[in-house]
Amino acid sequence: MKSKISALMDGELDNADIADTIAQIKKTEELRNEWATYHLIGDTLRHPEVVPIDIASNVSKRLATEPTVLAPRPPTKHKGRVFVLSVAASMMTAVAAVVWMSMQTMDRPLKPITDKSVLQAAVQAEPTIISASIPVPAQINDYLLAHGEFSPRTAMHGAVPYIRTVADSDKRSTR
Amino acid sequence: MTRRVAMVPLLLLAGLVLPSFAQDQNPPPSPSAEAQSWLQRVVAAPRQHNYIGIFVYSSGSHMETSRIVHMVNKEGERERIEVLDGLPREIIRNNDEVRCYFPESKTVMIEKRGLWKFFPALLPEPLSNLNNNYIVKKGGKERISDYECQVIILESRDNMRYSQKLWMDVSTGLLLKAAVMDRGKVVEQFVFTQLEIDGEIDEELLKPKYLTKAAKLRITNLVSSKLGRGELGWQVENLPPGFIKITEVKRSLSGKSTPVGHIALSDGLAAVSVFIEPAEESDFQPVLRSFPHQGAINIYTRTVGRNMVTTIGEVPPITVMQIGNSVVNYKVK
Repeated sequence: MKSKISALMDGELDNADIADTIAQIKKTEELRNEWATYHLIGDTLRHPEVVPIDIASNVSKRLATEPTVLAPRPPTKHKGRVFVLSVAASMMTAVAAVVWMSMQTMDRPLKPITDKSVLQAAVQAEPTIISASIPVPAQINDYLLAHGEFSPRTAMHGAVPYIRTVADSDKRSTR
Repeated sequence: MTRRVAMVPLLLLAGLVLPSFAQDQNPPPSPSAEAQSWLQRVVAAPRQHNYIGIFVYSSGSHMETSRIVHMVNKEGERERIEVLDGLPREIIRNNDEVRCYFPESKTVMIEKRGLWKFFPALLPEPLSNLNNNYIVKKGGKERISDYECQVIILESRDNMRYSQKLWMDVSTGLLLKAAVMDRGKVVEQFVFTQLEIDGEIDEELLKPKYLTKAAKLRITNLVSSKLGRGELGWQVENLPPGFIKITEVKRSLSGKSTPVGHIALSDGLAAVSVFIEPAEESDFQPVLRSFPHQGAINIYTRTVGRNMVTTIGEVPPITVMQIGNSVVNYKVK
């Protein structure tokens, strides 16, 4: 059950399991505490500096007052079916459908973090780049190919983006 | 956590209500809505039309010419691309399977799309979330390879993604030219220099040149298996605005005994992949580096514990670095 709660948090449960797990959480106080604790852990890991001390009770209160928020609703079922159909659709569609699905399962999407310090850090990290001594990992081509599977560009360009992969292999083989 | 719970209905609202609401409010199609319908055409077009032609791909000072043959019939889509400059190379796509042939290094790489398939169907809503990240504009008409093309501009709303400019054939919707741009500067582009649409295509043209020698080639098979329930144990904590996790899978890559974790992210147009691979004990050394970009693709590698985390995407360096730097292992093993 604990692993299910963890999975629910991460948006990894399928619809049937979501309903089941939430029902269990609603019934059992121990599980409610578990749920709250997991979130506390998650939030601590993410933002060690800003953990409100009463988050666990906030979570419990929130859950108590808004139990239906997390429950799958009829449109979810419907959309699920659409998703199955659209697996057969274009890449772009599939991507968007999955994006939708991940919204359904609370997968922390669309969180507009515009934290300046983070961006700053990324920029400042640049001078530490080593450019010559370490070779490009041999698997980079595999990575590029695997990356293509989920790129919406593949829907528009077909296999065209794959010529990048090919070009890279060319460089390697002439080395 | 409170934030998390509160976000759920908000997102449902944003995903479901807003698009239809917006349509109700604007009965005559706005320029943006018209541009969106062009985008849907461009995605659908390859599943409706045969074509054969020559295109040029360029990035920086690198430029190469390729021949493409694309055929659609009741069995689906087939495509063959042969790079005409430099060493012979070939890419064959058969619906959901892509094979790259490198005859010089005697290698074939095969990627089978286990999860998504191509099919002649399209939903209208999904592209609407592009508006959060791009200003979608309809440009003028320009002539490419003797075809009249509509120009559509997807202008990035921030510096976390590139802008794109697309030229699509007015009568078929096929993409005849595409440029990826970083603040007005072209990062990479491809353009057809010669093209015939909807002509008869000889099946022979789709056959791989190197198939007969395939027995001698080293075959790399990129298999993926979908993961559920947070199995991967890795997460991107600080997603750039507009990016969403699409999925996470485990993949077998060439010559690796342990599978590689793969988290796929997208903002609706650009995609970023994070690969997590346990480092091999013998040659382990902490690494932090980004590689010179290949066209619009940027790559950033760092070590997390004893794992190599490689972030790849058709996004600016700052974006792959932000994503790469915020990859964490949230499971205590």
